[in-house]
Amino acid sequence: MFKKKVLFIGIVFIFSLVYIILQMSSGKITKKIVEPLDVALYYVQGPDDGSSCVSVGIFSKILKQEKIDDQIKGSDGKSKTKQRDDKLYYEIDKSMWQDEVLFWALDENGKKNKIKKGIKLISSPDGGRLYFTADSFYNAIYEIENNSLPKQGNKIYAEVTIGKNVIISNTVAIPAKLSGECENIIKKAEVETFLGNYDNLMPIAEKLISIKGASYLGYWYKGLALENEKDYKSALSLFETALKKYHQPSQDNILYEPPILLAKKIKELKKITRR
Amino acid sequence: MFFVLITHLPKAEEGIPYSWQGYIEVSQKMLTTAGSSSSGEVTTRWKLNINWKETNKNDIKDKNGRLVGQLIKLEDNGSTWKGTVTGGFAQASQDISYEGQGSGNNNTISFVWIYYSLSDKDPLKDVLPNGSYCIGANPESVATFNETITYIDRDRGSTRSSTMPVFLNYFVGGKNLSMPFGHIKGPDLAGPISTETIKECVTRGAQAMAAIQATNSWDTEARVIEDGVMKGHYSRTAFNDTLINELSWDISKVMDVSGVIEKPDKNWRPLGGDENNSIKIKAKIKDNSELKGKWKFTLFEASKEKGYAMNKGDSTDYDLNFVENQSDYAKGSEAMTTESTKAMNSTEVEIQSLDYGAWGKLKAEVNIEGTWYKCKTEDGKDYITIPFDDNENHIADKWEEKYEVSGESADSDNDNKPEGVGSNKEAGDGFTNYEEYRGFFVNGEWEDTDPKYKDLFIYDELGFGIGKFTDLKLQIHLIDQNEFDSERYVNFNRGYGTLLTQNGQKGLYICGRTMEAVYGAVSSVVGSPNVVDRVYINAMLLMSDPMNPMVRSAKNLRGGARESIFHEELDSIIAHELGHAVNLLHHGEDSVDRDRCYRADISPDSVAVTGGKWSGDVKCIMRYNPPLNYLGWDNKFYDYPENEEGASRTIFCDNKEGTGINAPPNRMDEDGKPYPVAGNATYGECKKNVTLKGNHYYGDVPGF
Repeated sequence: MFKKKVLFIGIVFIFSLVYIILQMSSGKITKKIVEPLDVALYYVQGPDDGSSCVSVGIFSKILKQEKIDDQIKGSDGKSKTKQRDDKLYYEIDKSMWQDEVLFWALDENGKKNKIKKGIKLISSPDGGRLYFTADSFYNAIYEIENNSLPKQGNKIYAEVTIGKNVIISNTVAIPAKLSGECENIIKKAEVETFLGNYDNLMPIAEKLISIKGASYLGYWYKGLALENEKDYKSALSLFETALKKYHQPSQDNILYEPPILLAKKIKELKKITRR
Repeated sequence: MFFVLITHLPKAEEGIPYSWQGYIEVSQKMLTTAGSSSSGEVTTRWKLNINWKETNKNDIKDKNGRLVGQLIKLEDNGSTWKGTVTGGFAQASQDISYEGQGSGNNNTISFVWIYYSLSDKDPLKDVLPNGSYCIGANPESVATFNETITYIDRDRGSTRSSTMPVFLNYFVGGKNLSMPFGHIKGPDLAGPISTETIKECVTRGAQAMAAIQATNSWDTEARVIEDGVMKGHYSRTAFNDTLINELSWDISKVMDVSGVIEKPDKNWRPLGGDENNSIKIKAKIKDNSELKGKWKFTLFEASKEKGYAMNKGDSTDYDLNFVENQSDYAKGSEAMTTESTKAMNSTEVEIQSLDYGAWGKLKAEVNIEGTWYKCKTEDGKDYITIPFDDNENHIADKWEEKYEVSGESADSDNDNKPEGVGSNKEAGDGFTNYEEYRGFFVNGEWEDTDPKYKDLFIYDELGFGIGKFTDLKLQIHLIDQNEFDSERYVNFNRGYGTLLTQNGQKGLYICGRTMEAVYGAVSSVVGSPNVVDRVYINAMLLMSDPMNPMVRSAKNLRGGARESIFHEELDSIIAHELGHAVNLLHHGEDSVDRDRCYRADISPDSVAVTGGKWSGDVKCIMRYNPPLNYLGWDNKFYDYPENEEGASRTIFCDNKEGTGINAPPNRMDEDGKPYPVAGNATYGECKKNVTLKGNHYYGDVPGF
């Protein structure tokens, strides 16, 4: 009787083992990868009567931390890096960026409301297997109508569902309304640039030059528009003008940093125009 | 024959140990003989603080083998004594003085015994009533000290002295069985003693003592314990009234119980939040495995730090509690106490920690027959610290040993690693030892930090990382948005052991910003983390600008390849701006007067000058990407060299020396351009200038 019992248990065990192996080989059971990802929400304020835009980026803070720990490891440093045998990846359908990214408004009492309309996906990565390393950053860009956003001081955040994981982004406070025409034009230029609508930049840049010619900004955006049109010679001239006009007080310590981006544009365009 | 046990008899049979505690005062006065030519007196005094324990208990049996009583022997168990001798005699031709004093432990008796009758028909009742006792001190075995005897010859004017021992000498209960152990055979009174033997001892002893008492002025009374107390007084004279012995004593019977509480496991440290943990503490009755009592544990001086880590939670409740529903325990009548529901000889109680920095003290008491007895640790304290913390600075000793900071206080902030990073004049990172021990939540997980290693917490809202900032080898922790407060304080739950020289320590906040001409910025000043509000990175660089060469070279253009690879240049830019946020300046300031820009194609904002922004070590991150022009040592403008000769912007420099195109000496190259381009740095020495704690602005470095 005892022998039969042992035999029965043995057979059940072997069958179970074979079943699991078959399932794994068919892909139904895969090695579980549970690694938290992080979502970064970046908001670009648009003109009061237009749209703003946001970037929703996915990355892995854990992997970044591990890389940092490895880099500081040395005679003086210490590493907390866990050994990671598996590559971190997720199967992501391109539609995820449309269907699984939700935007929420958060009022001062912590009450949240889903932002249901006025959101347009502008660009996103392709679907497929997304591998994550410390340096990976996948982002989609959305245009959001300002009237869909909550009032000043309230916050917005994104909620991204990847497989079974629901990842919450950072919160961003909605800034105050803009103060005047010039500021609205600048914001419009920033949004168009961010959205990659360089074709729309020329009239905005010219308007900016006409109302605030002392600023380098109009020349910068006009340079970008001309660069986009491959009129490199004119673009170079605009950027050089922008550089000369750059010398002006600014908020924060931006003035503290030299206008390297402008210098870089000029250098590149000089090379191109020389050819 | 029917025997009845008398209820007030000793509890020794129940396994309860007793001791006898009290005092004896002995005074022995020597006088001169009446009528003699000498005069004076010498007095010897002893004060004995008694602590005796009961040892041998011999059954006394009658000839039928029935138990009629017990003879209890006591031994010294830590008594203390003090003795003095003073006085002197004046004789015909000389004076003799006596001086001396001494003190010590134990040695207060040569024997003490007590007889307890256990029968109402005790055959010894007449010769040895219940509770009879006798105490003796024999000179050979008890306390002694030396006296100095000084002889002054008045005729010759000479002085000499000698030293003699002074012995403790007294006797109580002279009519009782005086020296029983000397008359009873057998090794150390092993086994029962017959009533006949006792009677014989009493008779013979009494005869022997009668003669001694006459000459030694000892106690001649029969002494009996009353209400558990030996108490009495006598004054006797002898030797023709030249010796007066006076004795007072008051010695009570007390239960000799003490408990032991074990210190916590040294390897245990408190945890909090979801990780809350517990520790079991053991206590027991000392040296007695049969005695049982009711137990009470009291937690006191327990911490109530805000939250459960430096940057998590907001509760201000106690951080240590008794685990609920422990078997054999119920909540005590007072706060923070728990009491056993049954009598036990040894026990164990479980304490729960709710905070990663929890501390507290625990005492244990055991109640036996209505009296609470305190438990002591092996080193004599009547409490233990939780966690194991002998220096009581609220940091587990094991943690201090691990990081070699055992000799430091909880509010020490002496981080001095990595070597060469930061000023020697100001060690530390703004977080004290206690704060680093209590730990922080980093990306949702708790961790403690190395108190010798400078820590910097960074919230990276963009997700771009910190790039080459790792070259400083600071211990960087990427925290979540809710892991510092709205003012960026990382130790926002600070309280005990925090630095009083500053109002908390802030983390850095990297966020995006649309900027047209620059890669990044800090607001609103360059300085230490406590004064830099934001570290801005031009988010457009990676997210959307396809015209940007940095993005163009990356794999991921929008709608194209899927993965963005952070460009090496972006890594330098982020590191550069983070450098400003740990108080690093550019290598110098460029001040080209616009009027000097005689060439129309030259912008003064993009010209390198000697000792300016682009000076110093060309590998240093705090040098920015190249400008368009430079002002040579010949005071002419030139196009900035395309090839910077080894410039990499991958490290933080540790000196001011110019390298590559900045290296001395002055020279002209083949195409007629002057070198060095910008020479040695005005500031430079970036590693040394890193400042994490305090409020420092624009490169102000402690000690410089």
